[in-house]
Amino acid sequence: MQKNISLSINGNKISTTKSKTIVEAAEDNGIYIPTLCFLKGKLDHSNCRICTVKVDGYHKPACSTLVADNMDVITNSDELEELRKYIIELLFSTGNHICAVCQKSGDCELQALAYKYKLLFSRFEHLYPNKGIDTTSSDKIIMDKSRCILCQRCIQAIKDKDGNPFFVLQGRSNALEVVFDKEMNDIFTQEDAIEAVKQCPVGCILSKESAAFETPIGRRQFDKTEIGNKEV
Amino acid sequence: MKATIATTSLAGCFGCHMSILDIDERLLDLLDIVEFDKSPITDIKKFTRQIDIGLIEGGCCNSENIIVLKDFRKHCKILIAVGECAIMGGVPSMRNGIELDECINEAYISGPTVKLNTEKIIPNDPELPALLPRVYSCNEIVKIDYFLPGCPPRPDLIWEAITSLLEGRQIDPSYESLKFD
Amino acid sequence: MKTTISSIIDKTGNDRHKLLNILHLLQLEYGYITEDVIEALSEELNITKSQILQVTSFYHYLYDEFKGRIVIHVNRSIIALISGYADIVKTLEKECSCKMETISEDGEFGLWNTSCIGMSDQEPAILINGFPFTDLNTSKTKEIISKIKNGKSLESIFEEYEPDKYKLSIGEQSVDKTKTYIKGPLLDDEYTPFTSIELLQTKISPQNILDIVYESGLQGRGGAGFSVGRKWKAAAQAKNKKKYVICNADEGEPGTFKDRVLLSEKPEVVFEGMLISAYAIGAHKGIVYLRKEYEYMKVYLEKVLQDMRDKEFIGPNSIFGFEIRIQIGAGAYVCGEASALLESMEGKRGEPREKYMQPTEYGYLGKPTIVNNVESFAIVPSIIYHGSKWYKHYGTDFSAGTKVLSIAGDCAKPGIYELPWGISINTLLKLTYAKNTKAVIVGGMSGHLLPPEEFDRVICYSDLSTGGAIMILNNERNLLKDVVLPSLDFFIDESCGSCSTCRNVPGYLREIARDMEYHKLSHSNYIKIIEWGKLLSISRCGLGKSVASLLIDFIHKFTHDYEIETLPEIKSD
Ligand code: SF4
Ligand code: SF4
Ligand code: SF4
Ligand code: SF4
Ligand code: FES
Repeated sequence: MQKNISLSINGNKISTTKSKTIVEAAEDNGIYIPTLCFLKGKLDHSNCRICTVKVDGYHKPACSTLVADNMDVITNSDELEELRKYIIELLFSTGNHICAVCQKSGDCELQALAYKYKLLFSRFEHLYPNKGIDTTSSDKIIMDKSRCILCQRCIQAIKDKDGNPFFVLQGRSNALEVVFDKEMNDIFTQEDAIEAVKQCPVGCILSKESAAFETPIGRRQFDKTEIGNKEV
Repeated sequence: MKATIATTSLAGCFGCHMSILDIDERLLDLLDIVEFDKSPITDIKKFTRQIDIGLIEGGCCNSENIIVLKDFRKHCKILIAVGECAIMGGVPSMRNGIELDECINEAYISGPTVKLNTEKIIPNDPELPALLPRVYSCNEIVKIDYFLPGCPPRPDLIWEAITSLLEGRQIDPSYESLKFD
Repeated sequence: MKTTISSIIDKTGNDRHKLLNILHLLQLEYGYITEDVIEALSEELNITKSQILQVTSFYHYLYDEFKGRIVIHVNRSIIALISGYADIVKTLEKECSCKMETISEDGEFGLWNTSCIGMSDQEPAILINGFPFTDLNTSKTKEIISKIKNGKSLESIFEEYEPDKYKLSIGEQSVDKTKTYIKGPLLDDEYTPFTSIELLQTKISPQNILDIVYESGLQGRGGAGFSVGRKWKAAAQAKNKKKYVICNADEGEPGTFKDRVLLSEKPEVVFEGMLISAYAIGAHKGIVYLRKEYEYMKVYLEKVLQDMRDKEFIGPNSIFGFEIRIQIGAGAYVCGEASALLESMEGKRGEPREKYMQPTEYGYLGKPTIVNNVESFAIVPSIIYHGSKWYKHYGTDFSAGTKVLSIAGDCAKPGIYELPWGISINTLLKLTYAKNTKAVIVGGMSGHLLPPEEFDRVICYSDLSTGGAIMILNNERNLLKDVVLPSLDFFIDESCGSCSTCRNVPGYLREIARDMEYHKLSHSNYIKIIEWGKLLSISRCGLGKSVASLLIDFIHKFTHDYEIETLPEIKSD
């Protein structure tokens, strides 16, 4: 069912295959579009909105918009970059992000995006939520919920063999939370746990097994390499 | 005439001051063009004149912090929040979201590391500044002109900021100098 | 308990997609969804407790804790606020001996705010265990509560005070006390229900219907204004044996009540419209998603459906083999969005879906589905009967037909007005005998706040597009307190929470708006409002996109109402 599609991204003509998202098509062509909640193959949950691009004049999330012939996509206008900065600041301010005491620091995607956009401070007032740390629901992970950015990647990515998620949502609106389903703990394997820690873009899901702060500063993922910048 | 700099540490750990000193031999270059006024580095206690640049480490966790910060605002042309504590509360703000009483109780009475306070005294000397119900970032109290993130900010970032200010350039931190931890 | 739960599940079918229905029945049985209920349900359905909580915690009308034996929801819409909400609250708090958002000590009463129960023409209004009591004042409220206290049954009190609504609740036809002042082709009684169905059997092919509806220019009446004909054509083309027709009766936009009136007075044509669309696209099943607040009409609607079954228009014996059922919602404004409504019908959280696929391809249970508003379906039989030209001669070039408007607020004649598109606000104000009008809200919380200078603007898809809510405010109103702040409260309450923007920004906007009660709007806060409005516009669904609309209209158009530090450049949008 694959067929060639040609579209323009930031004025450059590219060709790609049907059923790819704009994020993937752009990536194939060396164009980085920031994402936080994007998971390959899952299109239904564009929650963070950071991948917003302009498609034929309209704002659309690049992670769940499929390419189409003759599409005109802009990924990097000043307006879009400003919106992205706002979202990063928003996520920082509505959570508790004290990187110095966070073991994801240096490998955290939210932080890495802040570095990419050279954010010096947040224009939103910090809310200092105290959503608690869940150390008991699972014997393999802990969750520092004030760091969760509700991207829902863990829900989408980590499921048992019947497709039941290990993480679930509770509440709505600004009281929305992601929690570990403790009834599923018995079948939550060490591999699942490792995958969950990996999928979590921030330092919310942390492993009980691996030692914290293992990698020395300077050698972590984003210490010297900008996110999305493959060459360096 | 040399530019003047004042520094202070509010609710901070002095790590940021260490980082200022950590610009190493560039400190000598710096001293060629600036003069440190009121600062823990010089031990000058009072403002006697208007200062060009004020560097603030730490946010505000008690009443005295607020007085000092406002005093800095009054006497400094440019005020810079240095480090996460000054920018958004940082490590001390981990107590935000927890009741003050609970924090004090944990610190002086029931915490697992409280061994020596057998009489269960909570410090109550009238000289002690009153703790605020939560830790405030500096820009919640006064207007802040520049922010240098990091815990502590990398010496390179501090150097870049001060020199660019003195030379009248825009601060343009390198990727490696801008880190939040 | 287990046996009760089993029997309830047997009744609805052991199907996760029926979770909402099961939960409704369980709540009816036990008062709220207790931990034991969840435990037992989780065993029965073989899903974890957290997955059930994931759903229950999403909806306002699914209670995870005891809410009182008599649960009173006090309407806190804009119109309620300006019509004496505060007095009713005071009286209720005194009579029930508890504060709002709490339960009385003996557990007898629980008082809860709710955003809009669709009674804006009869404010102040409350729901008592789901029964609406309207046009309240202090003494009436007192009476009602004391009758409850004296042990009179709620049904009989309902019958006494709200005879019209009571009749619906026991399955009898009745005319609601809502006044219909102007009737057009939809509300006048020129069309006899079910005449078009007869045509289907003999003269009109599905393709004819698609063409007529398309040519009539009918656009979705829920507010978005998508061409109904185009939607139906897309669904007709979808290759799938199973297709669904869904009637969106989740009328949640504060200030609207026209769907309630249509459903209580003209349910036949609504269902007939659904049947016609089913015939056109080849659907086998229709579902009416009725908002929880309108549940009291369900018995009557069921009866109308049964009549249709008896006449063999629908049901297994009908020649179309088409069946219609009613799905009760659970209290979530966002479910008025078509894709959220689908999610909710599948027994999930009512979160809007991403738009990469249209419901006409991938809708209810993954099958091609059309979702249309009550009003859109209701006019279809007449259009089929009279033809597209007849319909097109109403309205303007780009907005065909008429619009049923719910008008409420500071005017002498609040009620229903069916008017051709293209009518100006000035005309509306004359028709309703509104005096000293300071502002008009067109389109509810997500609409426009208009000052008198703009009263010559007209209601149509190319100027003021609306689902039908018009609220009139006179010179005595404080727009910041009565309109802007409640609108932000509303969105904070109703956001589903998925988007980083819509989950978080409204709270910050509310801080700024609150500050405006006491201080001048600073230039930097002005910039924030504008910028954050843009940030909200990249949210997934219409709810998030329009959070700031009333606030922004307010600061741009009512500058004399508040002070501003240094007047910024006012950009017109
Ligand atoms: S999750 Fe990321 S941004 Fe948050 S504290 Fe940890 S490293 Fe910093
Ligand atoms: S726990 Fe991590 S992966 Fe899951 S929603 Fe929160 S931030 Fe995303
Ligand atoms: S920012 Fe970090 S280094 Fe600086 S004072 Fe605060 S805790 Fe210490
Ligand atoms: S805009 Fe708001 S209501 Fe709509 S999907 Fe996003 S969070 Fe949910
Ligand atoms: S990555 Fe697209 S919305 Fe999050």
